[in-house]
Amino acid sequence: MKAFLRKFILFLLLVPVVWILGLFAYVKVIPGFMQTNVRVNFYRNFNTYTFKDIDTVKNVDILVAGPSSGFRSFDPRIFGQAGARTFIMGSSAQSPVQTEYLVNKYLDKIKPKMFVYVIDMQSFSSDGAEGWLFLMNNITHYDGGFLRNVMETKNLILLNTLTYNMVAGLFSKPEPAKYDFESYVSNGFVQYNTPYRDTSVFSVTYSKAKCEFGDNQKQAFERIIDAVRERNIPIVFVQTPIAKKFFDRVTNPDEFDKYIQSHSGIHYINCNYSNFTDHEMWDVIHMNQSGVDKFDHLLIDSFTSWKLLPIKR
Amino acid sequence: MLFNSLGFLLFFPLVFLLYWFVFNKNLKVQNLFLLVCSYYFYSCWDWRFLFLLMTSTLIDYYFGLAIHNKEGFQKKLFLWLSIFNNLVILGFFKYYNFFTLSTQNLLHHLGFEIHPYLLSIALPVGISFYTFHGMSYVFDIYYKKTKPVSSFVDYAVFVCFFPLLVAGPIERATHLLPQVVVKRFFNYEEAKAGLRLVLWGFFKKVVIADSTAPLVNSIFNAHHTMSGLSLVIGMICFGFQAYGDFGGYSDIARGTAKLLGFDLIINFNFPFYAKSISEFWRRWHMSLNTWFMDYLYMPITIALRNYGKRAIFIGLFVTFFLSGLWHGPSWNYILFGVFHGIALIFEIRTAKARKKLSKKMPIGIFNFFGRIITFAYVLFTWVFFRARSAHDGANYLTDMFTRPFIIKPEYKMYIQYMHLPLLFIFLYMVDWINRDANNISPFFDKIKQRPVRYGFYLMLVLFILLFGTFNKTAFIYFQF
Repeated sequence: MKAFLRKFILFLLLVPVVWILGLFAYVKVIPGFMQTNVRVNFYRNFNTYTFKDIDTVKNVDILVAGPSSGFRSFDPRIFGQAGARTFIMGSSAQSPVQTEYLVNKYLDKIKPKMFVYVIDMQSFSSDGAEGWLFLMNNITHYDGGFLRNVMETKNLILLNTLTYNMVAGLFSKPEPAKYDFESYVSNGFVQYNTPYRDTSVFSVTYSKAKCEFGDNQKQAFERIIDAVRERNIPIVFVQTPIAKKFFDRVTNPDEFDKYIQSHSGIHYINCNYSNFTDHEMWDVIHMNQSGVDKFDHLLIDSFTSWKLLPIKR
Repeated sequence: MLFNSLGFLLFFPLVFLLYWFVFNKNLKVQNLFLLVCSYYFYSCWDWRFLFLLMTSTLIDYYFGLAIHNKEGFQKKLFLWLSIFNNLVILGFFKYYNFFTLSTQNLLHHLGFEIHPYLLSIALPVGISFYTFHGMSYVFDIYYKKTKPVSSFVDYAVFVCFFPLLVAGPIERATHLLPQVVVKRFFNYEEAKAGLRLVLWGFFKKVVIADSTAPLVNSIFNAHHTMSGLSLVIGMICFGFQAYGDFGGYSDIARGTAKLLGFDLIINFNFPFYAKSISEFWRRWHMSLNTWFMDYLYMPITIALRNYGKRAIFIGLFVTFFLSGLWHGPSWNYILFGVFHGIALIFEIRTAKARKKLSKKMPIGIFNFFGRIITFAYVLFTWVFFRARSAHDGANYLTDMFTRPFIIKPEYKMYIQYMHLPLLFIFLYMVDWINRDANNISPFFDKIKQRPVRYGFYLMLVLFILLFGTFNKTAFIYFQF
């Protein structure tokens, strides 16, 4: 028995060494599209600049949080014209569990006058793993809270990617992938440089599905609201417009609206019932720049009517 | 609790250490500990069905004693009561809705309308396995192959031993019970073989089966829009998924049992190298097949022995019909069984002609074609196994031959699965090298140099970490 346990423990000690070497070989040798269990290349995007900027940002009036529909919709230049300094603390596939982590980390540092939370049904029904992947590939430092959150997901892909990034980060800090069709402006905003990606996606008939909202996401969402309210910061929930057929695929949007509206004293704008068309969409979930212009002015008008704008300093 | 879950990775080492270091002094206490662990393992899925498992175990335990102590009519009566009890439990939880709906459909075709009450309860996991354990126990006592055990705990360990509780192998009282009632000693070689089985089983399950599952699902779920080539690929991939899944589960079950000093019966013996359907069933899910052969096929053929070969044909057909039904309360499973029954009857009828043919050509070529034809036939029947219904299975096969053979844009779907063929070849090669053995351990022994052997172990661990899928995919056979 002793010999068996001794050999087994020795073997277990060898595993982490081989695992780390294997991770490097996997990322360097295997083509990116086949790297199913370590996700680095595609996931490193403009969010890198957002989380570089967030460390230096000061005097923010409006803090926006949420997934890509947030950081591709709120143009700080347009809000700046209305006198509101805006920062978008967005990251791809950000779901409430990631927003909660970011709010806890940055809210007291940024001290915004208003908190705008971009919500969507998809992020409430995700397990959050993809959101952690994007964050871990784009933030510069993993603190205890981040590591605890990632470990709690018990997801091998996250563990592999985290380990790879931590070890690879000792040697170099890779730059994010850049594409011609988009550019990082400033304060967390990413702009599309083309009017659309592929118009055929607007005519596809998507299979109907019911969104099941995860308990962990709902709980994180409630904790975010509590944290912001404790600091007496007004909150606005926003659903950005998505392509008509893509929106229609979900069978229970009313259920989601009802849940969001159950939070009294918080303004809620669902732009899917506003006057947006597919011509203002870049793809099925993101607007092009003309859509962004229209959307931002609509929001500024609403904020003004609710007396949230102009910002009182 | 799944074998491929973090919970099991914490549960098993703890059980192992307590089993060998704390409870090893007294066999009764050690068996009681195993029973408690097994019940805990089962209750992690749904504790409410634990009472069903306990009741079923208790009833068979007393029927076993009664059958042993009685003679003549009373002995037979208790046997039938035991069979009735097990079939009622199985029938109620697993087959009630199927038979009710089938009757409703039949009556509808005859012009009658009924609106029966349907159950809306989950199928208790492992019910098909533990009821068959119980039945094998009472059969073996009835046929005087074994004697009943005096201790309920010993019997309950035989029925509920956690490595085999939810997906087999289906053990026999004559094989496992003697191991339960004697003191067990730690054996280095057996434990080593157990670890190897666990490692190889994990590779088969999380790297082969679970990585293939999303591709198979996307093809089977949309087969009416797929090309003929994709449907062929889907069919082949499901073959590997099924083998990796159930073969992998059985390896992990046997490996964990070995680590606790038990030797479970072999359930898979390199089935892809079978040269005929009869050989396939001697290599695939062997514990179920031998159960049906011993307790159903043999009694049928003996009872009908005056009918000559027809008794064998009837025996085979009934056995495989019920074997198909055992897999699930649906006509696609029954069809799967029936196709295999028909193939076996065909093999018996053509045995002489095939023997003649084998003499006319080199044996290597004959065996090669035998393997290819067997594999292809099994894959075709597995389409029904995987399909949502018999109708869906038939449509899949029709689409395979009627839809365009290649649809260009489909290639995008395969990009992220490019590594799968390499993994399949790797699995196939290891199985080929090891085909004369009955488990993976001798393969590792063939690697004489220790660093190379350890390198191979580490490579398998790496495969699991870098190519494995851990998204809580249940084992296919859990549903049975």
